[in-house]
Amino acid sequence: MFDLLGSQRRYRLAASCVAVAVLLLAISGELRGDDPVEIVLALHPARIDPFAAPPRLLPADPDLKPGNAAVVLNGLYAERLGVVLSWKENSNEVALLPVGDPRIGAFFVEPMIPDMIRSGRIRDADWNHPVHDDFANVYLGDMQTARMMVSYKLTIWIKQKLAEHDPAAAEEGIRTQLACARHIGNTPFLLTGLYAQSAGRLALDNLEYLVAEPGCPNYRWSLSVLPPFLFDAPRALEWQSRQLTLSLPTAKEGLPADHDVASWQQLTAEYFELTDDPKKPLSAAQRADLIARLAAYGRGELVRRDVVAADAAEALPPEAAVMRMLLTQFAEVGRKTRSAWSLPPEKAIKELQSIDRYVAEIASRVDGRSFFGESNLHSYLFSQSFSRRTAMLETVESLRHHAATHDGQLPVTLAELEYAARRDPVAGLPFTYVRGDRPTTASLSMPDIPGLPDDSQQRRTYKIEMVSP
Amino acid sequence: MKIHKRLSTLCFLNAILLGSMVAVVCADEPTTIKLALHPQAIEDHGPSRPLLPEAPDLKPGNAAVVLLRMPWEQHMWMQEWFPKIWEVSQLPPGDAKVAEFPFNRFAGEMRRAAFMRDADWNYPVDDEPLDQILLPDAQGMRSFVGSGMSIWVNQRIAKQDLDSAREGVLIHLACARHVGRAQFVVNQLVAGAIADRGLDSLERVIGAPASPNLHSAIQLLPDGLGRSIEAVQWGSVIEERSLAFGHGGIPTAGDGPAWTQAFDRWLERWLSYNEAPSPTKSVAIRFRIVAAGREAFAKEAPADLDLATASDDEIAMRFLLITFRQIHEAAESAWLLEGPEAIAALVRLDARVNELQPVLAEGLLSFLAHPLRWYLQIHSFGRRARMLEVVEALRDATARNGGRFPPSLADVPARVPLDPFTGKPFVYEPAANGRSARLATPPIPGVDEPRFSRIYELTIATE
Repeated sequence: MFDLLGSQRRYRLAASCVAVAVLLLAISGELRGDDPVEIVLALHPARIDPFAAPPRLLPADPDLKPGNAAVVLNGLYAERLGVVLSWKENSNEVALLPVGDPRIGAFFVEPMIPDMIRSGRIRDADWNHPVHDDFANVYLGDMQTARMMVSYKLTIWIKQKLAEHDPAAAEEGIRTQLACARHIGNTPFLLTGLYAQSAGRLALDNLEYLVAEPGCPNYRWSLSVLPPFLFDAPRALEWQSRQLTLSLPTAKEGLPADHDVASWQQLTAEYFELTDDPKKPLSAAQRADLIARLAAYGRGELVRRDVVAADAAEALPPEAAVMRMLLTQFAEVGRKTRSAWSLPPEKAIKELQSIDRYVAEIASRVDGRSFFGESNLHSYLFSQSFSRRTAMLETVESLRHHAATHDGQLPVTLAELEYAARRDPVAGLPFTYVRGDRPTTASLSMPDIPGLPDDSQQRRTYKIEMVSP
Repeated sequence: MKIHKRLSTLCFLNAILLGSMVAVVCADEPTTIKLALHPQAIEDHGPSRPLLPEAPDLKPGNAAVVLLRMPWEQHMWMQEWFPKIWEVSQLPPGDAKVAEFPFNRFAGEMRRAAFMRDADWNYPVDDEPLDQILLPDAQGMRSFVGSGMSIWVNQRIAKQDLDSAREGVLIHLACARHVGRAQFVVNQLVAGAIADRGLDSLERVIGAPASPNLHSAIQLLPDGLGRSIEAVQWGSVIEERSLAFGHGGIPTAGDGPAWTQAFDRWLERWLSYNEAPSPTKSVAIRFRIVAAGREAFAKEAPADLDLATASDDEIAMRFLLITFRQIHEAAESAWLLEGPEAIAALVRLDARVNELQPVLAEGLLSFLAHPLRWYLQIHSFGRRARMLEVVEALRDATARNGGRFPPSLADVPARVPLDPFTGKPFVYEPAANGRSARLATPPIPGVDEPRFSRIYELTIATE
């Protein structure tokens, strides 16, 4: 479920919209309602100690040291080549096995951990991708590798520590995982932002194991100060909205003059090179036919949007009409997407559904050779799922405190909690809580997000059982 | 005017620093702005008119170096013109003193800084006690950027060069964002004050004849320009990293002399910020805090505290540290909530802090003693931006409606955001003839201070 891309493929950034689509398809089990997640949590009561400083799950700014974590993370591969070459099993499969599975114990990751912990304590991560010099050829192989290390190798180590009943080390691993996820998110791309959120969700999976360990502290406050995003979403969306222009060398310094037919033809060729399916490239005749159809459509669109006057539209070379339309539509979608993400979730979801419908219409017009990713809505929901899960776990911790101060018993309703239960920050509704037949059992579920179809709902339920100390 | 500020003087900042720089803070009445609007529709596919540089447009570099270099490069200008910068910035665009104000290289350098990606102010946070770090640079930026760019924008408005005026606002806001990249609450407040001046300038640009509709650009402005959550985190370590025990942690339980030393240093430091140290006062304060600590710990005490044998100073210092930590923790978790929830949590926290006033009177409260106030001031940028977005949505509506204000916000075609502090619509009251309207911030539950309210009295310009 968390194997976003399945392998260490290398992505050219220009194709990352496509990569986002692949990624989102791969995580569809989490995003769509066909695979609701049910987690059994055997919890030990844990009181919130008013006199002890609660642990942080993400280092606070005053605790961070100067330096560039990207150098440390990128250096892991070269410095520990022997360890890397010793891996025979697929870590993303092993990492998802339960704590105690012998394949986890046999996976050798220990030498990588000190440097990962060190990078988690560094303030900055500058990945130095050549976005200004050669955007179309930015490859994100380093980010994919970092994601695999932070998500899977570190999870294996955390689960090893949990199997050894060393909750302090497991907590350090989760803290490192979140800190390094934030480093991965310190890139200007939406794709890597989703990597960061994905690693963050895996850290929360690990925290679900940790809170079931006897003697582990209460993390309610620690969860309450986690940010909703581990990447700078507005910055990523600003880059995303320029991605098409930056990926077309001929458009980089501005669009050609209307009468410059050769430059428009070059621009069109660059666009088709970006969006052509390598397995089924368009023939020359198919391409000419598509350009002719799109030019007619494009002229109408440009006039309808007051971009050009009707007589000027008719005078445009076909390639100019096509590319001006595509660039206008791409800019419009970028602008609307940025605007939508800044809205409260309920309105944002409606806007993004509308944008997705528009994008689908464009894709059908260009015979699927669209530069857009599959779904703006799914990127948004995937990003937001981190804060939903954080709020849900925070409520679990309030329940653990209640049990610790009420002879191990759970409350009848969430209203009885001493530390108030969070609402689902995206659905805007309370989590659904039902106490079981016995006062030590209950279930806690994510509410459905209003206005979302069933196959886009993210469903997670905790089956809670309080264990006697 | 005070130039040097210590971080720990934040208790006084409201009265001294912010009081002088943000008129709205001192006002007993809501800020009321009269704005004559020229109807202008939103251009969906018009030229880009950003109000903050977008990430792909930023260049590598440290803007702090550029901004801090300016006074050293222009010594003569500093002597002759800098003392007048505040006064001139208060004048209207058409005033002769505005027109004659020279900028030398300042405006160009501020533009260069605005388009840089980073601003690292290099405070010695790992090398010195935090309360010894002086922040005169932030104060300087308030004048250079806050007042200077206001004058620059007014000059452009007077010349009817509105695109340059709009870019002046962009420089204003981008440099405010640079100031907000520092990690202290003081810097966030200064950044907020600079940005406030930027939005004042934006109001004048919006009200200028033939001004293009900036709705699309305003809706992309963020809710905040700084690193306010990091600033809260730094605020929470001020005590620990400033007191005698420095970075090494607090004294161990039962170590009476070490606790006495820590408490003495703390008391001396706080008294020195208020008035000349007085032994009588010191004894009275010590007595109050010890009594409060003993009372609190009698109900529930840390496991390692033996009330029977612990010294008074250990009781007092531990009571203070635990109290401050709890305030900081509550503030930080509230800070991350959505606006209305955050404010509700901070109102509750403020009430708890106020209960401590009898014990911690005379400015002895901690760094984040009034987190609600800091929150509202730091986040007012987003509220004002959203309100200006509504103004531009109304200007678009008037252009589509024969120069008349629409009967309600529901009749406005463009996006109309809610007030981020309350989650409610801004209060809109059009006149019956449709030629004027009033737009106001809704009241914030639990916050009675009028200074956090804003009202636009809107009319349709007749020229």
